[in-house]
Amino acid sequence: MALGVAFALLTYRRVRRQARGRDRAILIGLRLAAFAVVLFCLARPAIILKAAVPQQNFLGVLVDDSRSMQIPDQDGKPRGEFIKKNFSAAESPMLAELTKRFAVRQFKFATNAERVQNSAGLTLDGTSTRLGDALDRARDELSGLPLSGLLVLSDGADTADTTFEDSLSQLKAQGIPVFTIGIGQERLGHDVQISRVDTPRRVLKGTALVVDVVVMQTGYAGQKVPLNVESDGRIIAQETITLPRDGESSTFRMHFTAPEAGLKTFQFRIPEQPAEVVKQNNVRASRLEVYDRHEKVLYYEGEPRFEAKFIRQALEGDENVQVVLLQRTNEKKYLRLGVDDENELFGGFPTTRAELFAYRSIILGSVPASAFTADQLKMIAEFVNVRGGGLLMLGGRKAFSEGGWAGTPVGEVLPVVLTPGLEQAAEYFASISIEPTREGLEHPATQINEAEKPSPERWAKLPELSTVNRISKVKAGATTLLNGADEGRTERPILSYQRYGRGKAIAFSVQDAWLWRMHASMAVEDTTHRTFWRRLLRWLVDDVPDRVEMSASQDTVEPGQPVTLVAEVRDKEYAPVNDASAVAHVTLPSGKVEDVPLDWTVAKPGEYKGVFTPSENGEFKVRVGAARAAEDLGAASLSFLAAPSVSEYFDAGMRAPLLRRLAEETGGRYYAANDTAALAEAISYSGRGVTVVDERDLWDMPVNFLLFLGIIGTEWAFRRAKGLA
Amino acid sequence: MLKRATAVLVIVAAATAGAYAQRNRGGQQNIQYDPGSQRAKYDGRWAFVRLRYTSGFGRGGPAWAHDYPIGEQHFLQIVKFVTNADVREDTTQILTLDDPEIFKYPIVYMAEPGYWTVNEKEASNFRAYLQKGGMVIFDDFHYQDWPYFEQSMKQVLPDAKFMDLDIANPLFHSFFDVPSFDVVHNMYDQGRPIFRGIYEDNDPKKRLLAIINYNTDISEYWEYSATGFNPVSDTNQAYQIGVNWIIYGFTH
Repeated sequence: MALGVAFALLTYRRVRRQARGRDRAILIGLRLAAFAVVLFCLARPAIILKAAVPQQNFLGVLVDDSRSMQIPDQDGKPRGEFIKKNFSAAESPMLAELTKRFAVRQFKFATNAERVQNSAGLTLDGTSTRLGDALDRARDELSGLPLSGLLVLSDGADTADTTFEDSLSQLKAQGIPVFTIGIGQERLGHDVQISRVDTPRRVLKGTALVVDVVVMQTGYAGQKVPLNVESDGRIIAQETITLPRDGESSTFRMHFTAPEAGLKTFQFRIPEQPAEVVKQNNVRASRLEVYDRHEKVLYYEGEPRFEAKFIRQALEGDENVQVVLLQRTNEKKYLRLGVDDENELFGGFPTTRAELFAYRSIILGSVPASAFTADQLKMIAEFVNVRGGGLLMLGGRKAFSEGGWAGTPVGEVLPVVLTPGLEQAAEYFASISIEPTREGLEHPATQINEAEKPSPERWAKLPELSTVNRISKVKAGATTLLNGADEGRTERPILSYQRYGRGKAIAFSVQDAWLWRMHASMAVEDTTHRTFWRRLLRWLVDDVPDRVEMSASQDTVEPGQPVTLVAEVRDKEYAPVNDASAVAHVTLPSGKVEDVPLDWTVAKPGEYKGVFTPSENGEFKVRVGAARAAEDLGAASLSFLAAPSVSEYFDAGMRAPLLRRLAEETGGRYYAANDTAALAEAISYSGRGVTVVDERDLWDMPVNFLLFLGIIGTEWAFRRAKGLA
Repeated sequence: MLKRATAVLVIVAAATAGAYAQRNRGGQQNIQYDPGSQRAKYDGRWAFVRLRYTSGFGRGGPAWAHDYPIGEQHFLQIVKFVTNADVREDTTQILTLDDPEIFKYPIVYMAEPGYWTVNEKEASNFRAYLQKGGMVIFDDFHYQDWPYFEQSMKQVLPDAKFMDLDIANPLFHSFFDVPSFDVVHNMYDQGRPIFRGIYEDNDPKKRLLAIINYNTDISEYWEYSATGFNPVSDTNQAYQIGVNWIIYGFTH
């Protein structure tokens, strides 16, 4: 090396005077590069690879046979066609290439994975994709064999309700590399999707519903499309919505009323758009139990006043909310209206939990806290906290702070901040103009239009009401739906609520909401007052639990998928019962009845669980009855549906990140479907299975000679150009 | 117990209101019949509203003002004493049928409806008042006045049916259990008192829009309760019936 450098310097000494410094540097560099190539070859370098021995190793090929593989976004053809083209027969291009090197074992997977000869028989109608299960199955079946790796061809749309972390850990532990080929486009060209719909599990008949619908789209940004709510084949609500920007989600609120009782399926649908790739994700179904029964509300009014009359009037004829009025007419005298029999509330306000907890909700009118015993006050708080009932306190001269409720257990439950000592303060009066807050505009309880749509302009036209209660703040965690402003434009909460324990507490601080009916400015045919109270009381009784409550782990499952049935059992005082016998009677679509005993979970007081696995398609009706010795504790019912899942069509773009992660974490590699030329060789050199050491001389590669000639040639040409040759 | 309390109260009311009553009975000319002077600012509480209508003068004043103001003043004291209704004692209201203020007081009272005449604007306003939820008490009614009253009332509610109320009606048991209303006979006419009503949609299962004290004069008992003009037991029953109206009106 040293001799070479010395020779080069000597050679160029003669031309030092004729050449400029930069030219000399270039020439010296080229000459040194030529020497470097020679030296590299003289060192005889070689690379050592572990190559799979041809036909000695196995390769598991897992092909996705789920419905999402029908989506035509792989070169304009269904995704599954790519698999069929490459893996259907021995001469299929990719299979032929792999077969030269490996013993290929194919598996198709969707809900389950199974071994197949080839991919010619793919049906592409699997209703879910359980990638983790498929990897486990292939790994188990190929265990003990020399395995070069696994090859997964999929769109990555894993719809399993569990992650594949366990499967991934096993693969990593056993050193099995997974190579993945992502089929399809990551973002669909043209698609509208209803991503999510949030509905309650059950509602009282006639309840106004406000349902959030999350919509995502690509290719139709800014376009206006209808969003329909359908039930029993009829459109029951429709909104025209403007689609969000590509790839973004927007939430739209649908307002409608649950029309009829029964177990209803509501479908939220956007009609198929032109050139849309996936039309199945334009609709989402939600199951809802619309129940039809009398919900009893105990309304205790402390003084004769018109609020009682007009609340009764508003609820007159309502088949689902029964207001039982306990009107205190003097200190020890009551007028009872709306009672079921002569014994109901005979002694005034209930003195036992069992009697009080039989109601679903309580309204407290203008009645002072001193009208109750300490135990009754505690019972009212427990009515909300333990029983899960609704409590509504109305404004009045004996309500809130002015009624001495501050510092009582009930004051603790209320959503507004009370001030002690105001029961002796001078009387207060303020006229209030009321408007909904942002939450109030959308809340089901404050939709005063019959048409269940937000009605800010309607609120603005309502007459002023009045309050005699000094309420200026709500508690942390409480929500205000209606605000009021007095003559001095001071704003105060008028309708607020908070969750408290299992129930909710509402404060409505005006004393004369009846003016929304009687005021001279309100037309005789105006229904605002009636609509307001009906919706407010429906909300008050909504979601109030029964003594026996029941839930299922899913409301839609596929046949063969287990459903966990959970029951919560309480006694008349709503204390959890652990020694009950609870049995779920499951009525199958065929009419056959199967009993599933539910066992106390021990982990949670009063909770019982059992598992049922549907074996057929259709609706399964479940009724749980609970008893303790001879005491009937009550019953609850629900239904769930066993049907093929449509989850494959949602978020149906190819999920490259998942496939890439699977490959990278196991030592494999991810390939796009149209770039798989190097796949077979890459698997060969994965280093797994039966391998041979493959030593390849790097010095003996033609590229070295060509490089040497190129450098020398360049030097010569440069000299010629500079007149140095 | 409550009956005894009421009996005692009549005497109390007589003692406290007697001087006031004498002052006004002795000087009818001092009574203000201008509705404007009786207009109080609404504060959420119910005030006794006497309906004023156009008519000639009756016994010493306009017909609508018969027993005014002593009758209602005595009556309000009784209401405040025996019930815990927070009604206004500081004022009573005199309003015309076409006054929008009546809508803030869902119970109104009219005396001597036999002299009542009504124009279209009044009829329309009053109709809306009753249909929305208001209730009217007609009182102080002569036997021969029915046709005139019916004629006016039909202008307000053309389809109204006048139904006799018996003693079993909840109206007579909403606070006091009134055993019989035969005792509150008309002081000036013969025959038994008759209580009639007009129900919403003419359906007796619904609320009473109008209570019609026909051939009787309940407020006369109230007015004279401080004088000993009537037996205490009769006056008691007149108060009981009146209190029941108010409790019924607050709740139905």
